[in-house]
Amino acid sequence: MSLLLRAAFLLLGMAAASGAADQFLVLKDGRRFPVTLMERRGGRVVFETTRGERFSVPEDQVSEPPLASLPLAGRPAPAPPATPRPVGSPAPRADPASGPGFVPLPRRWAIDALDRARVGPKHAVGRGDGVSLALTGVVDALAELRRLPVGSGVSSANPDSLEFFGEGAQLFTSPVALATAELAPSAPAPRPRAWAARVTGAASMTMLRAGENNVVSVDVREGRARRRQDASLEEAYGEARLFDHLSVRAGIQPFVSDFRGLVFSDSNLGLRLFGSVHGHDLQYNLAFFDLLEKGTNSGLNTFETRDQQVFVANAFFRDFRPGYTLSLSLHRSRDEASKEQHYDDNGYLVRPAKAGVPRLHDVTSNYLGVAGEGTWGRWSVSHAAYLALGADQFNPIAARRLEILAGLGAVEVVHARGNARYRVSGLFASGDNDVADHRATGFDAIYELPSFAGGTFSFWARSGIVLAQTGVLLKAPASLLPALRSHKFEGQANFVNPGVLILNAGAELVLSPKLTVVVSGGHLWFHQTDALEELLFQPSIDHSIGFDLGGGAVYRPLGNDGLMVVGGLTGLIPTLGFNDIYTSGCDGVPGCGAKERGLANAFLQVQLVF
Amino acid sequence: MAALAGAALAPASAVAQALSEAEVGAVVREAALEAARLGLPATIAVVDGEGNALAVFRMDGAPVASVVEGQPARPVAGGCGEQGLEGLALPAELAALSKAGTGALLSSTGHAFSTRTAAFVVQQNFPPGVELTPGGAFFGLLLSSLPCTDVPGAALPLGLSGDPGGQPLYRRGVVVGGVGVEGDGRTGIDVDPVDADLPPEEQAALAGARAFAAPAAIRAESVLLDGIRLPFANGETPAPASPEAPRPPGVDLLAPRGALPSRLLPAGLAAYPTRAGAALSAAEVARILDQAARQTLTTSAAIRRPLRTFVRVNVAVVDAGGDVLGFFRNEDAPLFGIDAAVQKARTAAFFSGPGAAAVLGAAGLGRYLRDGLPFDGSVAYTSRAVGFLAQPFFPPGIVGTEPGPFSVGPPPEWSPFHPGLQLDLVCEALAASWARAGAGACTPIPGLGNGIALHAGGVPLYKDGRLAGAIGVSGDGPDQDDLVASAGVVGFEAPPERRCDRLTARGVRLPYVKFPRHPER
Repeated sequence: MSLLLRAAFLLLGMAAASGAADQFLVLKDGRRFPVTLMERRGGRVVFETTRGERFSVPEDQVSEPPLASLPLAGRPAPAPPATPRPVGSPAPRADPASGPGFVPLPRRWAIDALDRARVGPKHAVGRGDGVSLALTGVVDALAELRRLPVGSGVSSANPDSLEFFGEGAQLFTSPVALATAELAPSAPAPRPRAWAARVTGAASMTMLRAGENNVVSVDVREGRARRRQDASLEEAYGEARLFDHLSVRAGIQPFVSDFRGLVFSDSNLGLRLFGSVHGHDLQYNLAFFDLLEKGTNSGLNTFETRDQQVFVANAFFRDFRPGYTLSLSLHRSRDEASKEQHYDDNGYLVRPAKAGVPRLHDVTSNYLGVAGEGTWGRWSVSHAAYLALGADQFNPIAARRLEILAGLGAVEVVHARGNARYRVSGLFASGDNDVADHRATGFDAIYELPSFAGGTFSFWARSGIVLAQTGVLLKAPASLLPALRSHKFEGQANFVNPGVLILNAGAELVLSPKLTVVVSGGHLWFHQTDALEELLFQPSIDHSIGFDLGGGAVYRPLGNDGLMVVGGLTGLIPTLGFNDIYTSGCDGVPGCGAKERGLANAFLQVQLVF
Repeated sequence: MAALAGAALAPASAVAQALSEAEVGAVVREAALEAARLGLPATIAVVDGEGNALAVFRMDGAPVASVVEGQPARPVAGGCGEQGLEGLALPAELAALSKAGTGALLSSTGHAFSTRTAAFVVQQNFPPGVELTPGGAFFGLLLSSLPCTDVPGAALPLGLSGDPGGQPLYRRGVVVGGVGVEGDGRTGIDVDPVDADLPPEEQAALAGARAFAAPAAIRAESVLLDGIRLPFANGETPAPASPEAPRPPGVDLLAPRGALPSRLLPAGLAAYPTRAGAALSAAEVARILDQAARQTLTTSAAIRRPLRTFVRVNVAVVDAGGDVLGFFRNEDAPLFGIDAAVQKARTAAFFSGPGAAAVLGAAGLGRYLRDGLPFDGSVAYTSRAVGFLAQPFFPPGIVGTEPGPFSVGPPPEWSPFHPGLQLDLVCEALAASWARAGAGACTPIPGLGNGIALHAGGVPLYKDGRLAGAIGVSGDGPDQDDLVASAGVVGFEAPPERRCDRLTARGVRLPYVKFPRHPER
């Protein structure tokens, strides 16, 4: 549920962090960061944002302040490590605020990690007595007009709905309001801060208007529109410094386990130890989450337990090579869904998935990961590789216990040139090549929120697409993986899936400090189609999915994140494999035959921070 | 017969594959030994591929009656009354024969289904146990191939059975029969066909079928319908009994015999030469059948292995009065579909006809005429729409709602034996058959001689804007049946403004036909 919220936190965290934003670092490409620390070290400028994140950039990229005014390294750097987000993180973050019909609607702030570091207004109260209270509010409104493949259902909205597929147009709107209060020592130093307490409440309203019945609800009497309200606690934690460089944070808290959110990215109930050693060149987290259930439509936390525990241990080696941060991680997820069936808020069975043999089952998965991000001159590279191991007690599609052995690899290269950044991305998630064997080799994450390969401006990344005729999604929204889950969060990880290969390129053009334009395009392929063929009872599904094209703009009329408008148009031009699933060719019979139709998503998002 | 069985190079025809007397006896013996081992004295029946009884054996101590679940036991002679079939105590051998026949009639060389499979696809939710999902694609199927049918197809004493303990028998990939075991004294339906129960009846039937087991590649478990894997049997086939072990003591109600000459194919279908009806010429009937038959060749089957094989269906064309004008059958189409195809065609023709409401009212079934739905000839209804209206929850599958207009709703636990329009039409004839009180048509209504169907595949035919009859298709998947039927109907479509998908009942739109997602091969 809290894709959205997690991102919101990042924003809020930036805005409401306890450090005073009395200095700014301005890069030559126009980006401007509120910082609490700057120093020169080995030809680079190391700085820490008001969020407590530390980055470094080559000295020649710094526009302001003058290099000479910066101290040389020596002074011990502060910083409670959040997950580092090195400079160079290229594309805007994915904002998959949508799902097809009953799909959940996780969403996230459409802000680049760096953009997020720009300061927003905040209201500090009660300074001076040693404790400060910071209050921040965010209003975010999203509207999305989209066309997705939708079945016409058991009782269609319109007569003459003889064809399997129905009217796929949908209008989705979702205003969300967030309010954060943070209490912490008012003195900016020493750091990490001795303690802090923070609460963020969220209220959301989601509205979906669809062209077909059975999209907004399992009950056709609900018709074609639904409106749902949700309220939740997206943050509620206390934090304390245990030793000089070791802190603990307990409660509902945001956490991203790697640079790009490829495996676990959420704001959820947990206990986290974090710290640093060796002058902060090594930062680490030990985090344990006992996940809360998410609201089906809002993606916000509920107050019920999900019966899933997640453990993450990771370490970030800053300047492992000059300008390059290396990360090693270990994830473990234990999804104990074998106690009872779970239906989502719209009445659909999501645990176990209504697919194959829908029997209650647990899934235990472990991930070994290596990731890194670095910037060298005009070039930035981000990469990640994961190996998933574990066991699915009873996979519904395979109808047996399976051993998990799957992998993911991703690489993104960015070249900055003047005001433009050019990006090339590739991602491979292994697929399952034989449903009938005892091994599950399709990669799935725990709860990913990938900021990769086009992000917000990628149709594939944004959209949730139902696997027609079944009770699962081909892919969940805010995901890159065609994991055949029933639901992004409420569903269980599924390692019997087709896997995917994504090749994508894009460009980001900073036209002015207020306006950035983004374009993105690429092609997608399934790795293996055996799981699809089994589930759909259809032979010879082609591997190609389609061309994923998108473009849009990020506009900050005030020159900061106080007001931000993101708009874009994305689409999928399907090719053979997608058409094998979503079209038919029974031309001789009147009313039969689903023609190939491009899928599209036009969105506009406005967010206001105060 | 023995000479034929030895001809290994002979074509895989039903005759060449037919069970011998000794083989039938061996099936009975294996099933009886397993039942004895499990402590369940039972009645064991073996049928041939067309559902004809080849052996009925009652073990000593086996219950002589099988009580339809849902009500306290009562004699069949009393008829249905207000309780439908629930509580009727029918002869156990009839239950065993229906189980055996279900295994045989539902299966083909492309799919092997058991009574467990049947139970899985006919309930008010699909898959059973998942609330709020619409009913199974074969909802209403069990009340077909009834003993009172006027169709020269297969007939079973209870119709098709959803009670575990019925298995198909195969030889070299071809259906040669079925075995059914009835020993618990109850006739019901497995309402949770995917729980891990191991009913002794099913174990005994599996033991009986050991030497004639369905090929693993085509068993229901390898068939996914709407993304759901169908069940075949719980547990593994029991270990074989010792070859020396004698058959447990009991009575041969029908001593084992070898398979009978085919009653249905091809001679039986000759009962339906293509002919003219009141509104359709023989050439038009032939054209309709031809259009449907051609569509089968390009349409992928929904329940058949290997993938990409075309649908095998039975196609019946009836006139507006329900008389069969012509019949087509793909080779290897499942035999239950002969009766079901006629049922579907008749269902579409009857409910689309001008007199349906009046006839139902006169038959004492006026209570099903509600929600303002017109049955006066002004609306073209398909069998899919009739089944939609017959769901125990309305809209279908939404647990807790009122029953559909043609249903009187679920008792505490849904069962196909509970009153409702489909059952009420055939109930007395069925009870009379069980009481051996003579045969008659299944329903008192002319034109519905074998009952009505509630699953897709029946579409009315119109000529010059007037109802001319209907086509019924039954075989490898209900959506496929709709597609083949719609292909047959081309040139004889109902006027669009009269199709029942213009109507809503309680705000819920009726379906007309629904095509498969990706039907082409």
